[in-house]
Amino acid sequence: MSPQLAKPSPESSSAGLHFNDTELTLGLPGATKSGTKRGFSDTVDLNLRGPCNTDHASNPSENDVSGDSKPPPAKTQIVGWPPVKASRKNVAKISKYVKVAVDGAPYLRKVDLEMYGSYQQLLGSLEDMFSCFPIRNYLNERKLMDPVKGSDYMPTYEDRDGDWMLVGDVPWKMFVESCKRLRLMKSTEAIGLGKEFFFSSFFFKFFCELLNYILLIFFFFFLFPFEICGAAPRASQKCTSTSGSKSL
Amino acid sequence: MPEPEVDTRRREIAGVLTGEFQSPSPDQVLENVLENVLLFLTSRRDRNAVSLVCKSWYRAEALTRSDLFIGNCYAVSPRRAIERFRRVRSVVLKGKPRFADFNLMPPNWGAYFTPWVTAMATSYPWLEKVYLKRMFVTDRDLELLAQSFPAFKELVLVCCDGFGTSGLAGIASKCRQLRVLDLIEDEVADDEVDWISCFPESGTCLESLIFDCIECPINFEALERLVARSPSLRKLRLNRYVSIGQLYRLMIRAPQLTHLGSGSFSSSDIVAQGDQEPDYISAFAACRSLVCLSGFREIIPDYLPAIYPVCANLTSLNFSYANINTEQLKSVICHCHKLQIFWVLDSVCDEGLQAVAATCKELRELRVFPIDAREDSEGPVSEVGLQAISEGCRKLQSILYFCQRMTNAAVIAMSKNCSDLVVFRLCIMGRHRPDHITGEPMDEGFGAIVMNCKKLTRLAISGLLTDKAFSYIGKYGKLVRTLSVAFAGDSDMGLKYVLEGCPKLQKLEIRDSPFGDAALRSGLHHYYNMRFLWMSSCRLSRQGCEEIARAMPGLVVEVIRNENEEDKDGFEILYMYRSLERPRIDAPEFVTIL
Repeated sequence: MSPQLAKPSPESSSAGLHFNDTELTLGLPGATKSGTKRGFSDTVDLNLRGPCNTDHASNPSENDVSGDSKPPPAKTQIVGWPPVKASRKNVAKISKYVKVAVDGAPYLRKVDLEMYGSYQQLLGSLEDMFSCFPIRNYLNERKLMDPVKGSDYMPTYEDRDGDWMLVGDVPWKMFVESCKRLRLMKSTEAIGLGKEFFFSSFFFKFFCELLNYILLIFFFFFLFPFEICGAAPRASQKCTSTSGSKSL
Repeated sequence: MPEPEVDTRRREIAGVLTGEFQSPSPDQVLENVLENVLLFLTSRRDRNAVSLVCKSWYRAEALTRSDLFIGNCYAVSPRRAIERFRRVRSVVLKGKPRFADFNLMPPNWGAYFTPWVTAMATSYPWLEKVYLKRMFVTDRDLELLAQSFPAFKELVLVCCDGFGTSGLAGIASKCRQLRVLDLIEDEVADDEVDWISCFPESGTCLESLIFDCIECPINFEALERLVARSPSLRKLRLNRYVSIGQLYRLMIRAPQLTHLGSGSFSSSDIVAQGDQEPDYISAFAACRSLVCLSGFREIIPDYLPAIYPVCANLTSLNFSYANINTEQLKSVICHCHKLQIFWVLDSVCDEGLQAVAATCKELRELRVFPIDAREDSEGPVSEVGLQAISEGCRKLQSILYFCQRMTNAAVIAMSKNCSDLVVFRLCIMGRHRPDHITGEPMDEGFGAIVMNCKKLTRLAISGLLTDKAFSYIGKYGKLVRTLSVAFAGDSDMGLKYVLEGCPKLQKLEIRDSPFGDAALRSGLHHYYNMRFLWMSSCRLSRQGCEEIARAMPGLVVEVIRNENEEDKDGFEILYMYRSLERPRIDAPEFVTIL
């Protein structure tokens, strides 16, 4: 039997939160699809052994008493609980509002993901909303440079697991299901998220600068002396030969 | 196939005419009399008792049984059922256990209709009715069904999957005597076939057409014509692709309807300013026989007043897909004095339930579903609503109630006020939640239910529960047949109390509770009397299950792995059931039969 112990009895819950009982089975973060078969693996199965749910609001101190244990993680849905059929679950889901943050903007906005049918529509709408921040659109390879700021933005989102992902990889419906918030990230900060990672990254720019300096030093110390010493060839030969014999 | 009954009578009559009549032997007379009497016996429990009297009664009963009920399709093989019961007109088959509805069972587990329909096709040519629940039905099965039974009249599929609109097209076109086609909570694949157009052009004998679960558009013009040429139609439940304007057109063609599923109950396009909307109120008023109303799949509450004319006659109202608030419900429910069955979403809040309690004095069945089915959602209904219902609806027999907060006091009140309760299912959505006022476990509440509701046969428990709750169930739940347990109990004693105390227990489904092998062993005396036992994410070991399998050869013990599980010895689910057959051969790879 796989180590799936039931919740420890109430008396022992405050004695310690044992996260070695956490068992994560990853499935597609996709929604139920109409007209197709339900998938047993189409859900995220996260069995957490945490304290009693009601203790959260009333006794937050009790949870913190248990030494080095982390605070209880956010509630993630368990497979098949509550026992409501999939066909009944989408009754109220006519809107899904998520926060949109843009690096550098003074306040956040909210958008309803259900209003859009595709990434194009969403990104277009975001561009309208934040018209002064041009958004990099990987789907079309359109790249708009902000002439004033000299940078552009990449659309990223936080998914159900808390990871920051690049917008556009998964099918639209799957994205709507799993997206919790959006962030338009400054390209310079968006390391490792896109194809143009190398060219937009900080390291590449540093490397270019370094190369610049190296070339500058090369010209200054090796080529420049030849020009100063007027009778260039012989003087330089003498210099090099003496330095060469000395070294021998 | 000539029926033996007819043959005997023909011989007798022939004998009388030619003067060669020989009086039948006393045994034969007795058997003939018995058969004629047994024709009137419909209850299958009585019939089972009859068949145990003696061999001759067994034979007579087998010949006269026309309604075959098989509660677990793997408990008996098609061949055995057909050999015993030769003159069956109606078959009920049930497949997967109920927890499969909530994604707890991996897909492709089994419960295939194919071997049954194949066997029946040759042996039951006069088959008229098929009722399937939680079975896997393919389009080919439906084709075979449509071809093999010329007298076929009723097809009811509940919570089934595996078929699509092309299978329905076959049924519609070939079953010329079809009276009932009910698709209830099935998963129907969209094969892009216009099955509505496949019904016979020359008029149908359709009495009931239910397809509200179909998640794809239908040809509305064809449906309108179908309704027009189906004069016997009494029950019609539309899917959400039928707008309110289209509903109007159907209602004026079929004012004789008794059961109506209203489709989306919203307009498909935005109605322009000057447009005249049809007179929905008079359309409803014209349906004088309407007693059951459902649908409202994408309701625009402004249209709700259209149903006022029928409210006074309604005995069944299903708002479980209607996102309406307290005020909107109140405006409707105040007219529904005769209501007996009411399904609703918790968006109506406790106040809405108070309004129900105030008006619906005849209420027999109440189901309150959560609009936001998550553990940490708001929870607009609570013990307040339950208390109000218990005080107002004294004739209540069945309740299903989803909530986030509950108290023992309210549950105890219900146990005392509604002594006719047969079904009590309370789902406190947050796991291990105690009484939110006293902080105590919910043991006393459920204890009171089993103590005071003497007719209780079905119970589902939730919230913070200790072994004490189970001891109450074992002590007082003498009529309980179905028990659902989730995230409850402290130790093996809990399950022991139930297995040792409930003699009528037939269906036991348990998930995520700390019951182990010792508890499992305590039910050995009873498992042959049960239809099935389901235990998932409990404290069982493979050895424990193997022990049971060895001790009880008449039991099929299945251990089901999570498909992603790499540990071949680990398992998620124990599902065991009695069976007259050897273990099934159609089990998938992740199922091990011990």
